[in-house]
Amino acid sequence: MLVTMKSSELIDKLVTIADGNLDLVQEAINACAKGDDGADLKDVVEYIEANRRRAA
Amino acid sequence: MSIAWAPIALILLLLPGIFFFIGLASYERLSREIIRSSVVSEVAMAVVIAGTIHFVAVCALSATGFRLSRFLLPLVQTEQKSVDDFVLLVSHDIVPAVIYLAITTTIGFGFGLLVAEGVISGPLRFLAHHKWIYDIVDADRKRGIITAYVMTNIVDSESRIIMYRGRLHDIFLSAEGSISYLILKNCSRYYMTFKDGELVTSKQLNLFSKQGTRPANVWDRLLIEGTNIANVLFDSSPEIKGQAEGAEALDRAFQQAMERLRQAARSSTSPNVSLPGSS
Repeated sequence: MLVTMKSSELIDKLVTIADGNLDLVQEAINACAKGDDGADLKDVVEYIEANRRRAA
Repeated sequence: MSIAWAPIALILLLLPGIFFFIGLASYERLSREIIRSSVVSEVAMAVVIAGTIHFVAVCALSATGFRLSRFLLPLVQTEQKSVDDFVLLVSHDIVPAVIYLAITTTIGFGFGLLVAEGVISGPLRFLAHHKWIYDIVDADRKRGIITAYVMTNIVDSESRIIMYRGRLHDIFLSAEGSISYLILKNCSRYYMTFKDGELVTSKQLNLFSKQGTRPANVWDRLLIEGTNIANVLFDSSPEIKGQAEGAEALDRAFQQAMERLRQAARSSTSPNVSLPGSS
């Protein structure tokens, strides 16, 4: 039985925004997460854009 | 004539049970495996579910004054009726019968969706054979990243174990629950060695780093056969929320990223660069 990740398209876009840097995407999600409430997508995008040059 | 109609009637009455399994599978392809053990047990389950739904539906209709005997007896007692009378009788009763079947079938479909949702999100997890995979499915449905750290059974000449780390894209489980293969995206490789009695890992290197100006988001998948996997560590990230509110910011940033890639390709001298969305 095959299990395909449905969130792949969203994460693909985030990785593209991060210039292919998966570590930066993970860092952004962890940094923007508010406890058990998770991370807001808008905050994640802003974090990646603000830190992309630093991470590169 | 009644014998000829019996199989058709039986199939129609089984529709709620059949659509229960369709609902189960449509929520998540994997969920079809939740309670399936054999074709015979699946048919038996369909019969039980369809029977239960019909029982509840007839009980509910009886409370409103409906009597099943009054509906069925004229259809069964065909000896004294001419063909014209029988056709008139059937055409008179066919609309409520179709409505009844449509409603009970929809209930069966919805029930299947509910069971699948219950198994994946937790309350009905006990029904599943291989429960751990639903933690991964649930984390993915919450739009998180699931990172896989794969320890292979491949050892090089210096006794270093080859490891891979990447974002989980596909996972194929065998019927026994073992991994047949994994597909990772944004993958990197590294080594693990035993040094002074401890496990030490080397620096992680992007698998595609040697391809020059090739954009990082193009063809970045690694398939690892289950026979090469010693063990896998799955690590889920927090949930990503607010997708409706963040969609505009995401699309804007994505378009800017694509433009950066196009500019990089134009300024590059490499003739082999192909970009997503470019002709």
